[in-house]
Amino acid sequence: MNQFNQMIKQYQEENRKLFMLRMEQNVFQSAVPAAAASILKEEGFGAVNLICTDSLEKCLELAGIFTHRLDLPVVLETGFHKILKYGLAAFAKKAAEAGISGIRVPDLPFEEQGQLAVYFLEEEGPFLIREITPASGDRIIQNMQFARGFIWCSSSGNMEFLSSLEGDPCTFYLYAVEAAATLPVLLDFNTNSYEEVEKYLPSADGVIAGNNLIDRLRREGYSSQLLREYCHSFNLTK
Amino acid sequence: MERRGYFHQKFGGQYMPEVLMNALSEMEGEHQFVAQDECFTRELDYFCNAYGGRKTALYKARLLSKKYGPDIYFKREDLLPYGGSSFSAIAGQMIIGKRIGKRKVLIPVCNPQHGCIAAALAAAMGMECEVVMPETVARSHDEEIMMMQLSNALITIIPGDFEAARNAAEISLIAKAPQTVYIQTRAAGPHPYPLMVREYQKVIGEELKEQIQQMSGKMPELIVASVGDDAAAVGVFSVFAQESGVKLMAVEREDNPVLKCGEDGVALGMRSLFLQDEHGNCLHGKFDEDLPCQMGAEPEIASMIEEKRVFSSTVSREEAIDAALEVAALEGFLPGENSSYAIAEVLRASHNYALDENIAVILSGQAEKSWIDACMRKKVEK
Repeated sequence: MNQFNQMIKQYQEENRKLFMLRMEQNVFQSAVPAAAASILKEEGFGAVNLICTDSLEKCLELAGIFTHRLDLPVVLETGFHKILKYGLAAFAKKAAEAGISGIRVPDLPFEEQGQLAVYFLEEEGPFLIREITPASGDRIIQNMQFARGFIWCSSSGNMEFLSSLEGDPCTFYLYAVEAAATLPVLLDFNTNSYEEVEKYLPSADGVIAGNNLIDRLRREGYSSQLLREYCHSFNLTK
Repeated sequence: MERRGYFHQKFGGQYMPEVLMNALSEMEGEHQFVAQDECFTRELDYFCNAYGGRKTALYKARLLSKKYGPDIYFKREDLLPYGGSSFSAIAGQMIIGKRIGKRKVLIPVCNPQHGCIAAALAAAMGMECEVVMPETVARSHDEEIMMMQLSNALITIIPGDFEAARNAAEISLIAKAPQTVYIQTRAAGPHPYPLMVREYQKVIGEELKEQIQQMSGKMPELIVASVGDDAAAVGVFSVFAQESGVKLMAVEREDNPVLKCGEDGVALGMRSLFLQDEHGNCLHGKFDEDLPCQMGAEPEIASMIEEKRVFSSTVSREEAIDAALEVAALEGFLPGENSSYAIAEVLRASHNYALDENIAVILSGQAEKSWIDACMRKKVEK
């Protein structure tokens, strides 16, 4: 079974929420992946979302280190242009070899995913991630059809249409997601701390964190101390 | 069967983040609906004809023709308000936006003339307008910025190049999508923009077809239009694509040879030809600091190039200045920078055509101050 699928299944059985850290490739390149991975594990993070910022070849190599040597599931994120230049079939083969669990291509909506999805049909291999946002509206159902792995549930976009309802618009959005979801749902709510996302956790299977950390690391440069502090602030091991 | 939003199965598409997909499908739905709606056509005609002054003249450059051989016709799109050949495309997109309840217009521009058109039309349609432009452009276009501000447009100046401005506009759109219509000035970007812009720009080709037949009694042998900054070329080429006797020539600047050297890639929400570096990163050519250019080719033009229905050629800035000076001396007006590239190609190719053959050139955009200065310097040097 796909490494991520195994992990999330285990978390669901234990009634725990999976926290995945979003991180740019160049940060891990300048840091020691093993050290970073040990921080994530110690602090209770279960997976990594690796964003390709440089060469896809290097990113796949880095992903291989996380998955094979450090036993941490990886979701690779890259623009479609990079995959196109690498070659769709070659990329799919390399991604499977690197043990990557999921591929997120933010500029590839499900209407365009077919050209890449044909290379990712193996049950054991990587899956293409489907994303939903508050702006998805009717597309929520369509997006979840034939999806595999997990649903990337983002909070970016305008929630004005939900603001007429009394209460937190995010909660209403999550009602809709929960009702339609047939796969685990991971929240990408620009989370800074456990408390910020705690109230939404009953409607989800996990959280994607790290957007704010990426900004800080860009400003302040990579430091393992900063990574540890950020991960520790979630208090996942308590 | 044609893939949705693709030109000849390859170029086009919708390579956009999920968060903007609903906004795109709203535009697409309304665009399909208005194709059958006379109210829309009337409103578009009203703005293009009564406000914009269509149809534009087709002018036979008699002295230029006499000197160079074949009959040379200028389609004077530069006579539209602010010299913008993308006038109909901008008007069409705004009317669509208005019909689906948008109250605000968001337009990233690297050519301030497009900003002026958008600001003017938005004011006339009772909509708010935000023009996003790079700092490099804003620095040297005070007059245009004042014109936009007088039309109550909000000007957002972004440090960096046009790509930075476009990204800033896209980020702003994510938060404001329910109230905002995003405007493209050329037939590029995610589906349905290339299709929509092409449809509204077709009016240029249709007018040209009718006018040139009236004036000369036949179709032109060659049509030349510059590409890169506006959507005039796609509007004309799509009309003449079925006319097998008409040669279509897209002219680009020597320092931004997207059609000649571009490679298949995905950026700006579409699959098209892009200049790329050795690592495969998409680039945009640079002319000078004050006039950045847009990245990538319009997908329909790229597909016509692949099919060999349209040919491309590159012209240097020096050649364009010489051509502009030639037109100024013989015909009495200085063509805009973009148009001068097309005219240079015509002058270069004219010896291949007989005296009774016709060449049509699309003139778009008025001469800007920096272009007038460059031409003046060259004239003094001579």
